[in-house]
Amino acid sequence: MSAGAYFPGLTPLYGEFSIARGITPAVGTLVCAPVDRPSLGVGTLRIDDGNGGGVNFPDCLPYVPFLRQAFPNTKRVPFKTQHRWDLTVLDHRWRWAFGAISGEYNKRLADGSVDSNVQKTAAQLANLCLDAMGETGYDTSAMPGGVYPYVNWQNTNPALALWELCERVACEITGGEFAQVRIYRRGVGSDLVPGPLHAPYRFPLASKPNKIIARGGPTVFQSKFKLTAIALETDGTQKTLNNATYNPTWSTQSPISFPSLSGVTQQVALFSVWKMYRASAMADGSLSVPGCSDPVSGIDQCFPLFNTQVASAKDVDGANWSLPAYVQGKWWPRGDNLADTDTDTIYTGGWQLLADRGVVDFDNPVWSFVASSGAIQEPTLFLVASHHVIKIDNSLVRLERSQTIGGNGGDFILQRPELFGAIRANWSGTSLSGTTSSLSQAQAEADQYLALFAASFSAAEMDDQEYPGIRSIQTDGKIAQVKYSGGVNRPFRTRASTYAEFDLYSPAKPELRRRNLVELGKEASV
Amino acid sequence: MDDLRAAFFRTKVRVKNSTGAVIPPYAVLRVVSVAIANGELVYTVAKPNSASTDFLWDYLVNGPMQIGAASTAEGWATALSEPGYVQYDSGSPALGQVWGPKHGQWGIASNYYGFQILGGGSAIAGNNVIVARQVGVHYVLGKIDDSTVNKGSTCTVSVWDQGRSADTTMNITSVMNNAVNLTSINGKKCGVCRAGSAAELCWVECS
Repeated sequence: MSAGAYFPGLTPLYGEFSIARGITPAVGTLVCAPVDRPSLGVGTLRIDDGNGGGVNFPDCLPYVPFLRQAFPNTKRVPFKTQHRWDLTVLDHRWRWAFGAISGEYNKRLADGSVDSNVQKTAAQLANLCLDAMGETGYDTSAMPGGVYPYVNWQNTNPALALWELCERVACEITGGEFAQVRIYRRGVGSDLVPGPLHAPYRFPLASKPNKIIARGGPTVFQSKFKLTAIALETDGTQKTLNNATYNPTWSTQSPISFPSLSGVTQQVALFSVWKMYRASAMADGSLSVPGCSDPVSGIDQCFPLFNTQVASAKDVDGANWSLPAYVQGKWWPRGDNLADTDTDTIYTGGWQLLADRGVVDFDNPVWSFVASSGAIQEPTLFLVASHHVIKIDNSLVRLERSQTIGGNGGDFILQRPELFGAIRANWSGTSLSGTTSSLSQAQAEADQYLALFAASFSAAEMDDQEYPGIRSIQTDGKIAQVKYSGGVNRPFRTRASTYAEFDLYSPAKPELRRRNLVELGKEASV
Repeated sequence: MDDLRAAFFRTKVRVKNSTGAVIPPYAVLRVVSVAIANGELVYTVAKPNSASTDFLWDYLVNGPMQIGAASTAEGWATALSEPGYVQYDSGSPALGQVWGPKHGQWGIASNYYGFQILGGGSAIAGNNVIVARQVGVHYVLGKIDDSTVNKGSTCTVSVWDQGRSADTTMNITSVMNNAVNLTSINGKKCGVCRAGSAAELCWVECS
């Protein structure tokens, strides 16, 4: 084939095509004579240097021409007309603006583990996106294992979904210009062969962070809370029973009528006394949350409480559901005698959790009897429920792992809210027997993210090489951009760079990233 | 007041203590009066016959809660129409026996009337309790306190225990004689039947 740029229906005199990684189609320019209403369609763009070097870009879209003034009969642009077209051409990735994908994957169970019903590796998620994009023959085998990024796609553009996924696992999308997508880990790929046109001028990139931090979600603790009976005042203020302003002798006061009270006071007593109990401490009376190394000086550092435990089980359909919080203890079960239930009996009556201040509100009053007299007394009750812990600086105890890589920059934050640990306190009555924790598996996944991004920053060095003729160079985890150019009276050149883009007229990666985030409707995050 | 209408409480009634003393769990209660408070029936109760020697046909039984001595103190009670605990004074109540309220005490007594023993004796809150059911009193043994009772007139009967061994010291007044004129019958044994809300002589010992 003779040297030149080729596109069906056109006779370009000159062409150039600058390809970068990602989902944005490359924009090529073909310089040709303008034609009124040409019949052009999607086709293969080829740039051939006439010496055996050439590259094909299939499925390109002729986009829009820019009419410019030409200089006829010059050596540089031998047009017969006074005008020329600079026709922009988009590579195969123009098709990626369409389509939709939906699905929620890698949802976490109450203990932080991935729900096996919706578990997908990064490669499996990428394959779903690529299928939705209409791609075939793709290669996602290099994507990392050991991480399970949470996604919740709701009619999301699949190319954007793929891009966001790759950003989260430090991968690059390449090969879209050839309709042969291959996903690389960032920083993994080929070095450029030094070209003959100039000496190497490599540039170590200074934008390397000092530390990478993987910031997970708040740790979930499951505790056994001691419940203390409360009474509401007429203005809604909570008091313990002995501190209520209308404190009659509770031990001889009928809990179903409070006959020594009257009016609104009687109403609030009926509403709250022996019906409302507040989580006041751990089962042993202490405030320390088992498994939490941060100091807890007040029980409200554990509020709000959750209606669930950290354990899950299968429902009738085989889906996972979080087990509900429960009340247990020792109280009068309305039996025929004064005897309480056994210790740590689970309460099976109705109650609701007023989560913000840790109050259990029973449907019916719950009390105990003094066995020797039949006088009313406070029952021994506990609430087993999960919660977060607020630190003294008002932030939540959460998973956070870091790795120092010693760059000039600050901290590079990886937001991974789906990663969290769950720590369950195990009690035998009011004695703590230990904790069961899933924190280590969340830490392992966080550490895997750190390793991925640390590798992506290692030895980041921009190399910019230019070669005579057309060489087929593929972008990968290192090679960031390749440009092909040449035509009539123009030398054929191939130029490539690693780690950063060299072409000032193509949007640099940070700008492309910003645009993609706007499309996704999200704030900048990794 | 929803709790009072909850399933558990439908068989219970509110009771108010008029004794000025603590009412123990499972005590037998004499109804003094009934009133409406907050839309609920509230029975004022006292110790059986502590202020009266009148025999009563029906009683309530306190629940498991000790009722305080204050004038406003309340608890809940049942008619024990279903088996449940009731206090007894002493002895060994046995299955099938009938015991009943005795004036001046909280527990039922042997050979008195109204409560069928079902067994399951225990001690709760320092008192003897037994499982029983109030079966109602329809017939008692007694002795006539009047010398002459004409047909169509009433008399007073001293109630004796079922074993005829002792006068319970409880009396039934206004016992109707619907049979024949009776003379010289003071101290004669008789049987008194409950006829609706009234009582009448159903037999009298002839000399």
